[in-house]
Amino acid sequence: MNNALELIGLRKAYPEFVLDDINLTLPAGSIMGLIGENGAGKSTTIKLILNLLRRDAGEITVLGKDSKKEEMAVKEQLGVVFDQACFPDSFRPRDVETVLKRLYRGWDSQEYSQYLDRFELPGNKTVKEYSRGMKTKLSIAAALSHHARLLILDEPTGGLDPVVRDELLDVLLEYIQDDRNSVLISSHLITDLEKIADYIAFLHRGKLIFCENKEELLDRYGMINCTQAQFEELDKAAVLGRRKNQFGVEALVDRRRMKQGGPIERASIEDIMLYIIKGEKQ
Amino acid sequence: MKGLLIKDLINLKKLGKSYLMLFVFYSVFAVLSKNGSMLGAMVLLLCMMAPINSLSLDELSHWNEYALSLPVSRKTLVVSKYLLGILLGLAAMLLIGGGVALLGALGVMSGTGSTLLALVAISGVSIVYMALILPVIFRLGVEKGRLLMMMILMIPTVAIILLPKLKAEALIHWIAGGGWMIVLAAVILIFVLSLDLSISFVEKKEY
Repeated sequence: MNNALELIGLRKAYPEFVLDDINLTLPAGSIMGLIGENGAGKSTTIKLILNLLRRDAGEITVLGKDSKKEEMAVKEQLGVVFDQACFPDSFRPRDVETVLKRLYRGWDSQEYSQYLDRFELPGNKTVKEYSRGMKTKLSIAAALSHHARLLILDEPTGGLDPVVRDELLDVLLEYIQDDRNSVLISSHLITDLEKIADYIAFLHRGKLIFCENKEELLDRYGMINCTQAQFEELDKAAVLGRRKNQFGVEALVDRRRMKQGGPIERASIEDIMLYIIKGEKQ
Repeated sequence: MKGLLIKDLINLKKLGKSYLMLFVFYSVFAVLSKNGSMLGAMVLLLCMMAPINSLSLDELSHWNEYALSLPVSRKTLVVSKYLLGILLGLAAMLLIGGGVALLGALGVMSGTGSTLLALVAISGVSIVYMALILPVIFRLGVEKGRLLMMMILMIPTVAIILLPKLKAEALIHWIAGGGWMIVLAAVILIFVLSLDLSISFVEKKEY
């Protein structure tokens, strides 16, 4: 098995929104960041992978298995973290274990208690008394304690402070040290993903704009700062999006299509996302 | 399945205190009035309502989405709720039935036989209630299903008011004279149909 996740021609149509023709491959041993504006289809994609939503078309293969035909076997090897902790308010960490060890065959009590210690999660408090960060940590501890091979996280870092976010990113990087493990993480905190992701998948209005290796992406795109006159001379095929400011124009360009010389600065993933969306509007 | 049931029991524990107070209150009432049927009715109804309470707690914590991302099928999710109601009902039935029988044997309470019969009848009614309400809840959710639930709960009250006394007596005679088998079969049929309906609703549901 070389790919942790394969989506082929995935489609889900709502009256006011269509997620269409999503093709995406996550190679095993890597982290893929799923980015896009609110309502772009990130959560819909994740819910389709988990069969929480019914797809209208397409195929989903998780860890080499068909996600529908071998659903239970697939889910045994999945660790899932949603944007909110889904444990009942009255639960304590040990209650989470009491339940999950009966639902996951591969539950590892030792691993779980190690994560609880590491995250300094108080055992005598209930989920209701936990802070947002603690709830997320508890969810992550639960997701990592049954030897999952694919971790799927939907906006896990939303509402968390930078210290906790950084701590969680470290956990993910550690998890990926075992090259049989893979991570799919959606977030609109793109800087977080830029730190850890090997691949970036960019969804915009239900379409997959690109799904590429992060380094190649950063190599290909660049930012230029120029005057309006200089901008007019550019080959417009190279320009993906631009913004006028008081000094001239700032633009996202495709380096391969740039014929003129001149300084091209490194673009961040956030620049790439924002300028592509902007470019579409212009 | 076991994990889901345990989750519901842990979750319902916090309601346990208020349940216990009701239980004590009606127990005292039962001993003073020398009649346990009121106690039986209360406890059994509470037990049968347990799946609905647990479903509303599940909705609050978005548990269902999470549970379905674990190796838990939609069918298991539904069956566990029915099982929860039946198991709790059975436990309550044994507890109260045992208590009533004991008090009867000690001579504290009279009419033990009819009380036990009443308990059986109440169990049947509770199961039918549960069977009618759960598919509605699975389809509409606890919040939207509440109104329909209230209407369903009103049915027997309305039936008792509308049913002339004469016919009620005839009905009791019919049940005592072998009609109970038909009633039992009907209860089982309603239960199975309800379970089937709930499963098909949840299979189609999007989370």
